Amino acid sequence: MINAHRAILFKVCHVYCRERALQEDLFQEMVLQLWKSYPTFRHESRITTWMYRVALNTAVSFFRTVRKTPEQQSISKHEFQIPDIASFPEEYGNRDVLHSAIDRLTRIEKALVMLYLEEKSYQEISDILGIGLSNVGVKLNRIKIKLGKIIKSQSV
Amino acid sequence: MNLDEMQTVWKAYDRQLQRTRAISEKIIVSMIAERSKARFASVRRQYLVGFGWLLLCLGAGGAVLWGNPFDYTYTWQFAPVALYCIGLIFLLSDMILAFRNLKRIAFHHHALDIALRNVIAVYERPRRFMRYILYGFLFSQIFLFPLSFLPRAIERMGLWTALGERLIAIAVALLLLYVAHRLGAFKERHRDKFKHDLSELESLKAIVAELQEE
Repeated sequence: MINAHRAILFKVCHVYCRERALQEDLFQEMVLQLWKSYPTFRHESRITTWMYRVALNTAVSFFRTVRKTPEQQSISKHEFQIPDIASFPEEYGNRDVLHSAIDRLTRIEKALVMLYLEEKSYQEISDILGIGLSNVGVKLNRIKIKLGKIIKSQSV
Repeated sequence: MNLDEMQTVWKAYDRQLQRTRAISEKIIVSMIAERSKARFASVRRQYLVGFGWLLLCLGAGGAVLWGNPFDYTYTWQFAPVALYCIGLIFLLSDMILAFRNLKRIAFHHHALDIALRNVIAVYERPRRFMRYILYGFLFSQIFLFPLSFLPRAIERMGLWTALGERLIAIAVALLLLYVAHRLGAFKERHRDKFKHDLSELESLKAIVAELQEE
């Protein structure tokens, strides 16, 4: 189940941190949280909605607690590597612009913009993030304006 | 670059991610292993800090016995400090034994459950004797140490006032012990976390076994 939608986790990792070690720690935490919370998943929503909810909540709270938890070690050398966006082919000519623009958003804004880029409906975004439907629209409009300004300032 | 272009870049990125290596139960085991290993390393560091702290306390106790900074006049007044030093020596020996047992445990991914059980066994080893030592240590520090100042207090303020004053000191010590207990100072947090890791590992193995049967 996690495997079928693993790209969700990779994207959350890339949206929330640039540092490879932190990405791996976050990925580790998200997989553990998904695995632990699966027994309580009641199949009332789509599996991807639930995965987004757990992954984004983990990511948002991860940076609050990261300094308190015992030092984690990279899993990459043993089993796994989070794909490095920088190593992807040149078809992503604007990937750096996209990432540095997202970097300048707040944690909640990052979650919203990621779901927007994933072409989720307002209803799904509202379900995943647990915010009101009208609030989604308002926040997304603000973020679009903010992102537009960021991108414009970067291109200048 | 506008938001539509951003979506195009994002979709291309998504396509690339779909081709990445799958996550297996081995990875989850490896994650639990790394977390346990990190905690284990932190426990060992805490032991080293504990040794340093106990040695410092022992040094202070020795200095009191040697230099008599409290101006004790009777030999029995030294008893609480002597009991304190003996208690510390026992606690230190117990810690050294536990540390040596922990050092022998190796965390390998393929035998993680054995390593976790061994760590938990170190925490849960029979310690009745050490418990008596600890109770004796606490008794000497909470009751006997304040009473060791009684002769001078009697000289200064008379028997009943001195007894009352010493009782206040004992009450304060008891209160501090209670607060420490309420704050979880005597809880074996690491043992509980290792137990939690072990139960996670066991449930993962059970799930994998079920899936293989299916």
